[in-house]
Amino acid sequence: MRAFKIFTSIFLITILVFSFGCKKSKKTNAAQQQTATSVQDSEYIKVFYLVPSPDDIFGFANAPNLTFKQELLNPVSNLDKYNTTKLQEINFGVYSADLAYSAAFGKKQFTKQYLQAVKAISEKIGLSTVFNESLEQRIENLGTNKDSLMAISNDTYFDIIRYLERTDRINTLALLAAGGWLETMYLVVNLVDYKENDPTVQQIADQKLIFNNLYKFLEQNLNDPNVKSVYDDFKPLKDIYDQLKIVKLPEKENLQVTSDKIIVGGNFKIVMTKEQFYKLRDVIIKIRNLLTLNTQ
Amino acid sequence: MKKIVASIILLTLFTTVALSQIDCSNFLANRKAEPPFKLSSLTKSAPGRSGGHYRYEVPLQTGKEYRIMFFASPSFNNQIHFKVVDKNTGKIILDLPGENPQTGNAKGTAALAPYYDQKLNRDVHPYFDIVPSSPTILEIYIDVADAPTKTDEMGNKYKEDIIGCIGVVILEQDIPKVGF
Repeated sequence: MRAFKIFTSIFLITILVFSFGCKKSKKTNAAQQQTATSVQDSEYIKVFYLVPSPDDIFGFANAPNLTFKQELLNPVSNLDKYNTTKLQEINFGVYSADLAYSAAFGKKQFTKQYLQAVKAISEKIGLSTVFNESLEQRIENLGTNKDSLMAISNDTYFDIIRYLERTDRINTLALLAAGGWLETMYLVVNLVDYKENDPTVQQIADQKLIFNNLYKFLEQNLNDPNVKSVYDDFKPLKDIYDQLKIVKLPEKENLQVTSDKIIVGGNFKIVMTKEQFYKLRDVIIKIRNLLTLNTQ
Repeated sequence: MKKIVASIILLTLFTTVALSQIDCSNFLANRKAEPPFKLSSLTKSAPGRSGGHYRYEVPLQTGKEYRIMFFASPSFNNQIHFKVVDKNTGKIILDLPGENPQTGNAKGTAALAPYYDQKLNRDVHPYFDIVPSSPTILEIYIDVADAPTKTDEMGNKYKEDIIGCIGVVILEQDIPKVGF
């Protein structure tokens, strides 16, 4: 009897703490409909910070001044060096970006090589089930067509994401996103030099928003020591992106769109100076080489 | 008293465990993009529950056109409200219920219930085409309505806890650049 009372009290306290920790309680009539406008910001019990895949960030193949440079890829031979979970998970993302880059330029051999690297590293972190028989067969029968290379690269990425979500490995997902973003940026900043009004340089500046989302995503998972460590590693990047000013433009040329489309964003531009560009490049190279164990 | 407490404990335990175990990773797996659109990696689905409030922060890049669609498990009966805010300008660009009986779910008035397209001669799932003129973040606010209050045989009132999946499908395509 006494044990039941104690158990009940502890349980109810736990539930109360849990409820208040997650959201405010609401005393609403069942028939009442909740509307977005009536909800306070603090009541949002879960916020998802989304980060695009390496291929979606730059669409490598469509950017005219981006080329394929083999020497920029993280060598597959580095695989053996990654003997901690942090390095394995972050380089899982790094190799995924190298895979997307190789596929976008129709490099069959590199695509195959980096698919194998992603597979090898996925085995180390317990994700080998993603590489099922049908995916293995697709890798084996890999064509030379760029679209089919990109398709297998994207499908693998989506399968991995789905698997990580299904198994609730959000910390791994955060590190994969961080590694993928870092390697994508490493590739791009090494392919261009600063030019005013260069669209790729502008895209690098525009990464401020995506990086902020990534940083908040990492921040949500600081309970994991590996995520915390990468979050700290990324701090210099946060400092640089925070310095980039967002300016309002007086007027912008109209986009060629039809009336049924919703235009968003307003007339803003993220401005990056030449000095900031090269500082950002240096920091990206430094962090990338630190986390991939490459010497500069 | 003991019975009531035990019931509350069991019900709470059941719903907490159920929500954590619900697998939404494949909820959108069958959604395919129609060319020229391709499925964006920003597409996301996650578990939700009645009375829950969720926010998605979606970064949009210039040079792309996005198509956004919302999906939810039938268990929610479309009782979900969607609001989309452009973070750059603070403007609310969409503010829609899941279904809208007053308009018969006419195009642009509901986020989940399909509308009848006269030209295509078929039902179409609502979609919203969005073009960023500057890079921005879309804040998608998802508010699931409370479940109706029910009364059990003993006359006690209780609220069902409805759980299910909520998904935001994002498609994208490159658009020609104009200007610099």
